[in-house]
Amino acid sequence: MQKQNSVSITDLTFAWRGNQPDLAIDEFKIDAGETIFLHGASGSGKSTLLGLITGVLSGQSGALTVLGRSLGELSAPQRDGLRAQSMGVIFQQFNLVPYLTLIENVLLPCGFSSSRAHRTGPNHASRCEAAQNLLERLGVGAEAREGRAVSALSVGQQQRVAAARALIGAPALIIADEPTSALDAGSRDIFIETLLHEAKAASIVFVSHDASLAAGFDRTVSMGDVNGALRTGREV
Amino acid sequence: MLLLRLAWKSASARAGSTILTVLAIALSTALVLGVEKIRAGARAGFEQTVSGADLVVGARSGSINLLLYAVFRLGDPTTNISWRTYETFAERPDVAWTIPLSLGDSHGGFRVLGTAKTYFDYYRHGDKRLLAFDQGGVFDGVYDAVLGAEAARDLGYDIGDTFEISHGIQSAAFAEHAGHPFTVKGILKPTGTPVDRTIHTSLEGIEAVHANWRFGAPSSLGASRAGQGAQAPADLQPKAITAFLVGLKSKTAVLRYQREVNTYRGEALMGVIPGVALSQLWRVLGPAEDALRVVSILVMVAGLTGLLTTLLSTLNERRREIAVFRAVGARQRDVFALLVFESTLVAGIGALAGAAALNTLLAIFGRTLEASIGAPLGPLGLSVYDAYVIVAVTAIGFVMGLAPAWIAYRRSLADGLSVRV
Repeated sequence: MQKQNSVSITDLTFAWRGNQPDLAIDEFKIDAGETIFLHGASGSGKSTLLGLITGVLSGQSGALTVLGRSLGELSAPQRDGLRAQSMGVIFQQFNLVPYLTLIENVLLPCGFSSSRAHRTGPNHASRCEAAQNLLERLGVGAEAREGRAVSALSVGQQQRVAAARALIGAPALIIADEPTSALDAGSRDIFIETLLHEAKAASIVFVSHDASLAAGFDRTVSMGDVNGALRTGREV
Repeated sequence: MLLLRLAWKSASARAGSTILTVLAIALSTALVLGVEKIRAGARAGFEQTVSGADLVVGARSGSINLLLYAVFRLGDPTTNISWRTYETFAERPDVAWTIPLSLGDSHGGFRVLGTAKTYFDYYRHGDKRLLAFDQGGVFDGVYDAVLGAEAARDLGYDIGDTFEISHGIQSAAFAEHAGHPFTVKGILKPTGTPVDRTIHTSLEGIEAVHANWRFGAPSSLGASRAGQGAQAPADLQPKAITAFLVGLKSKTAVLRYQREVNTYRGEALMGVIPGVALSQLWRVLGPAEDALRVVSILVMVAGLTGLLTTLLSTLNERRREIAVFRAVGARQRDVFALLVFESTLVAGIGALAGAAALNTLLAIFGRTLEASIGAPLGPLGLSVYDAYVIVAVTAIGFVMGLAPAWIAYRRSLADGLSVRV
């Protein structure tokens, strides 16, 4: 079975307000399994692009196809369903729901997509085991076993639990929005290494303003090159 | 299912403010239900008290007034009616029974009621139940007394104890009918009606202590003779009574009998059908009941506003959670439902807790409360009204949740994938 692109964008424009587009992309493609390092200054449209790809934002014009589905043709609940089923998202911080256990946090996507739940394991016990195994490999297994509260974890540990949640049930696309900006240099490198290793066949869009992290990725993309709106917009 | 669990966990994670909100709602629910229980209880109590009698006859005044003093032993009787008039109406062929009532004296804060033995044969309360004796039996001699359950308990009297009664309703020491000690002959079982707070004697006993009185005060002649001991005066035929209850052989005769009473030429009389007078009383009390209900509902509104305040104040910290839920695939409507579930859950638990607390308190302190307000409370457990209130409070909780849910919904749209902290 041949899979073409994870993400395919053609002539995409999006405006938060008014007529002046904040995001204008002529052509941008991510191959299946390809890992992308996306860097750009704040305000360069990174968050907008990620919002559109994950289907949280809508209202764009042009063609946006994610995992074989044309997002413009999907309803909001359908886009949400696609995200639950086939995407993993890691934020910069505050990734975890404080009143859920680490395992519950990891298994959250399974609550919103039954196919993702089944990919993770046939029943609740096996899914918990899968989550625990993933947390072990990411180096926070002990914390989960001890039943630590989210608030008792360091930021680095929290980010690793967030990575486990993004990876659970082997989604095809992982979006990481500056996941390492709150980490020190040592744990930052380990985090990226583990993420790339565990993601295996998934495409990854890894956003950072720190270009020095780009080494392990298949391709580096600069927002400045991709977003045409930056060039025209700044001249005014 | 997942959302309900999340709403529950979210509410319990904020235990402090959640418990306070639940408490406020529970208290206001208990208040609303409690007011209703007392109101319904008072009504039921009043209605239970008058079961059996077809007509209450007394001197002409207001029908509510007559009912209150003759049946409920509340307020003061105005004028007496003569014994001859009573006999005239008691001996009619369509009369099954009559109970004469003579009020105006008291002992230890309890009213003394002079009556006939028919009282114990025909007076019915509650579900047409007759009076039953706990100890002893009906008064026999002139200075015998039968005590209501509560009067006996509060005064600490047993069979054979003696006491003296005083003129007037207050237990003030003036105008004692000294020298006429009454002996407790019987104690009634509790009825949940004013009977419990009544001391019953024979009409002759009342006549005896007043024998030497004139115009409501001891005559100068009598005062000198008052100390002559408990010797019953020779002629104890009562000259007047306060009112009497009538039971007719046929219900169809009630209106005719009432008309004859009301048009009696010998004396200004009035006959009152208890049920009719009661409904007049409820009409009079209606606005007061409504006011009480409005106040309790306002307290409820305050409690539920607390719920809204709590929800709105947690919206900012929820913003991150909601972004996380959206990121893992929660739909907009899930975000909306999460908040509505939580407010519904908190309101529902509060309402149930309030009903449970009220019933627990009534189970423990209900007897004391009944005694102090002088009316039985409604039965324990959930009435239809209670269930209605609980459902209504829960529904209002649902509606209250719509506002924060809408705000969260709008925000999560604006936030996109990132969280603006």
